[in-house]
Amino acid sequence: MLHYCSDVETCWSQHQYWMKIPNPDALWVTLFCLIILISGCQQPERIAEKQRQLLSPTVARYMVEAEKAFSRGVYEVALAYTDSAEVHFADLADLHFLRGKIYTQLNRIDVAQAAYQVVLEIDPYYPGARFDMGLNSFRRGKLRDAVNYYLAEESEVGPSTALYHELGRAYAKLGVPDSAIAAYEQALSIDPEHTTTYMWLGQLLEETGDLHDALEMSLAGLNLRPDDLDYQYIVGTQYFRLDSAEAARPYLETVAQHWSWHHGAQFNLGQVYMRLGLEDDAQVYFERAEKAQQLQQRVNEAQNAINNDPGSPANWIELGNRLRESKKYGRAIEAFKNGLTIEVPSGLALFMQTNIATLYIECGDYDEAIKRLEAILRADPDLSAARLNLGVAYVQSRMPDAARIVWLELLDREPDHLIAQNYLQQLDDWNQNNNVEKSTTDCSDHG
Amino acid sequence: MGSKWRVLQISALFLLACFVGCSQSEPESNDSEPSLRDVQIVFTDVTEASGLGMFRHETGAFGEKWFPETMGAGGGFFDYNGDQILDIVLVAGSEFPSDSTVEQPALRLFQGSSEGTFIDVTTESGLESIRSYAFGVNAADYDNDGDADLFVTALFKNFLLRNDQGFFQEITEEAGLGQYREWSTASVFFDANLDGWLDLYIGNYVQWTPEIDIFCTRVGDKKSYCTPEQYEEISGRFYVNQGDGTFEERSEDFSGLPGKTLGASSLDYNKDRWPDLIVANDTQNDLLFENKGDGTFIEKGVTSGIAFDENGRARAGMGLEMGVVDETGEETVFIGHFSGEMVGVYRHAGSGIFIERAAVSQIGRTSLPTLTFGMILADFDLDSDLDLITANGHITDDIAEVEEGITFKQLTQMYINVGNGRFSVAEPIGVLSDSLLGRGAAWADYDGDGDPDVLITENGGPAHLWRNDTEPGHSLTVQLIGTQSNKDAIGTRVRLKANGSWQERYVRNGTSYLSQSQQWPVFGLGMVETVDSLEILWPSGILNQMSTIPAGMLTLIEGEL
Repeated sequence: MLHYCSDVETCWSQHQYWMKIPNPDALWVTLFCLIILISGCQQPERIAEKQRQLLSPTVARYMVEAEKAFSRGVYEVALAYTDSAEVHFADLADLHFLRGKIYTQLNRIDVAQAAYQVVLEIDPYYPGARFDMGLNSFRRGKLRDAVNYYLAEESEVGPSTALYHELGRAYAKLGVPDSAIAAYEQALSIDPEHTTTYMWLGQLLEETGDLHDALEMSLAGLNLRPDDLDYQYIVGTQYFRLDSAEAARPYLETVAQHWSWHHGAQFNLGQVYMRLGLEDDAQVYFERAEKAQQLQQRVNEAQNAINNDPGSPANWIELGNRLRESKKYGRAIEAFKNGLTIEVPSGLALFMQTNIATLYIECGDYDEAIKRLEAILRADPDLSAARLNLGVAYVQSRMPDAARIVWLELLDREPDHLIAQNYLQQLDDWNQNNNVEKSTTDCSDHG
Repeated sequence: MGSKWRVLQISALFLLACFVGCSQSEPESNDSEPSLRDVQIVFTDVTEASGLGMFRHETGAFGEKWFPETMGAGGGFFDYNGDQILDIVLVAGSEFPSDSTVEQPALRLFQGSSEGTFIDVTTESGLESIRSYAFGVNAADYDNDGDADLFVTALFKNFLLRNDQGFFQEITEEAGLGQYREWSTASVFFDANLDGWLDLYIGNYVQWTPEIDIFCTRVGDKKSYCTPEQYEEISGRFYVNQGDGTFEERSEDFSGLPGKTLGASSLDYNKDRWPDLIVANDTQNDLLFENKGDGTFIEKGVTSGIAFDENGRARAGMGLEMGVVDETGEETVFIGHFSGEMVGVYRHAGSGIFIERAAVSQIGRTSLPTLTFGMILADFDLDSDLDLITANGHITDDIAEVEEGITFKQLTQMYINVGNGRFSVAEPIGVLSDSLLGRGAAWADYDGDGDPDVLITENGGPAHLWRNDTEPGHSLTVQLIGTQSNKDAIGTRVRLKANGSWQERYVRNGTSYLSQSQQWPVFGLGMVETVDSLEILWPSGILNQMSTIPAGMLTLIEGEL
């Protein structure tokens, strides 16, 4: 039986000897081990852990870079690094585990499951492998399989909050509410502040008709994360279903204001206003709900196309565009990044990279946008859209001189570029009035 | 130690939640109130014994997985020859191509006998010549001549079949109902303008022809049946009965609105006597047409809360049913949905607003694995409240490979009304243990013993007649004959008080999935043998009140009390 470390610090003390190796190459090994510790630390003397101790600096460096690329969402680069690592250490369990995660992100679930299976063949006690296989089974609607993977993880690796709350979700979807509630309770017994478990438990109780209990749980979750818009939405709708339109109103107003794409919030707020006799206000939100619904329908269609053919870059581009249209910028970035993992012509890749950078501008992450746009222009200086948007990013970052330069460069290349001309004219006004409108968009559009 | 404390803390939280929940549940909640009657509902499958065993619905499937193949068909009860014994009509489907060269008639008519058996009278009744890929059937006396006519919805051509003393004449074109080549599904006869003549609403599904059939897949490159998202919708159409055997189209209030309709019926949720109309749409928002008091309508689905699910999403609406199922006296609307979606349960909360209460009613979770088409409300145990039966079956034969817990053939579910607007799902025993490819569902007291029996139709399969053999109780069946109002008394509200509690029925047409139930209300009385009082509000506005009525059958003619 493996044991989890209680915290990263403890694990770190168990591995600090890596730090004593004077060879600079060893730093890669140390760094890789640190990443592994953070992502799922375990006591040494297991197969995967022994492998880590035997890593060459080269392989360790590949794995560090792969992890970094994965965390940045640059999946094709992450895969390339795992391929490089495999050349030197084909049976490295961490490598196959990371591949499982990457392919999961790429919606290539069969390949991901095969990678996790390889992990378990190398190290039958590898923490998280069965858990991730359970998550993938759940995604594919194989609920019994998911439950079995979770129970195997519990038996072979040990309990965890995440394990139990996913187990609860699988039981809930399977139509076994009592088992689901028991699993959620186990999750909360390990971590009484696990907000997701409170919310899922609340939703399960809502489905079973126990509205008061449901609200109690949801409020417990919201109290722990009061700014979470998802939670506010759930609490708002549960108040409404309990016939407390007045109590529901502030929660739903907040969500509807922040997430214009959230048709549920717009619709339920309209319902609340109807109950409060504010029919004109209700109509406004019903119309917003309808618009949001239409946008969501287009997103769903794009997602269905990907489910049928995840290997088509055009499908990912379509999804990215539809998500952007719905103002779900965070997910749109993910879609374009996923599309870039497929082999595409360089022109198309730069087009997608430009879209990603533009989305970072819309998210308000101007530093990331500037970094990406500068890189794009180094690759193709003729890409006028990138140059134009780079100027916008500079302006938003209070760098008007830099913006002026890139727009003038653009006009040198394309003297008739009307937008660049217009922006340059407006630049002085922006400077004088200092009234650049910063994006307030939150790109954590997971709702 | 810390862990144990945490467990106790969680337990305390649940305990507290329970107390709060129990003390603040819905105001009408009173779970301890004794039921009038506590018996197990028992159905006996009498399909073979009654003479219906040879019937098979034909989907026409020949490997191409054309969209219409999964959608049929309905059936139901009506008295075609006026002998006061209910007969059964079943939509038989067709092979493709669906034209006059097909071998099988679109309908099969089975004449009932006092012994509870049926004989096929399709040929004798003139229905043999009706060849079409049909879906739904609806019986009503549209010409007020005292016999029930039929309206049949079909692919590309609907049929109005006038009943002339037990022989049906096809008069679709002459009646002004034959101008469109559309895929029609649900239909509703109701007197929208209260002129005493039944008007007709026709729900349409999607624009489909073999030429524009789409290749859909769920697994790999294997063709699956499509869902309606892939096709353009067709809005419903509304026809006003001119009183001379013809109809005039007045679809202005319906055109441009969502189609993909599979269920429709009339109701009077605001109790202004002017019949309203509710329409269930597949993957489009459901519609509620409020009668403006002159036979024209304003659509209020969204503002009333009936259009979407609780998160503002359109669901895959199939059949529907409605009735007063609790002590509030307000209508509750039930809408069948796709698997993974709860049956919709919307109760009118007053002021034109409906509250979704699928979960609270305890129907919600149990209905998640089922794809519900047909739905019928009747007092199957005669305990003075309405129970719900849903006919279920999927459209995708390999669905079990794709979605765990979802099956192609599914159990018919019976939700027993346990009071306070809550239901308890019956154990899957007896006929309820058979998995079917359920589509239509209808009820009627076909054997005249006072309790509602059940007809379920299958897609590409047999029809099932389930005789209600529950321990006998008392009931009152009210046969209504309109004079100033339409002859079928559609739109009449009947209230009854027995054993201290009120029951209510609204005589309506349509409901369920493409099917026809008995229109005369049957009130369960439990062990009570006498009704204290009865109120009948006819569409004409005439109100009749009676008292001290014995259980059994009561025939009322408007204006003759």
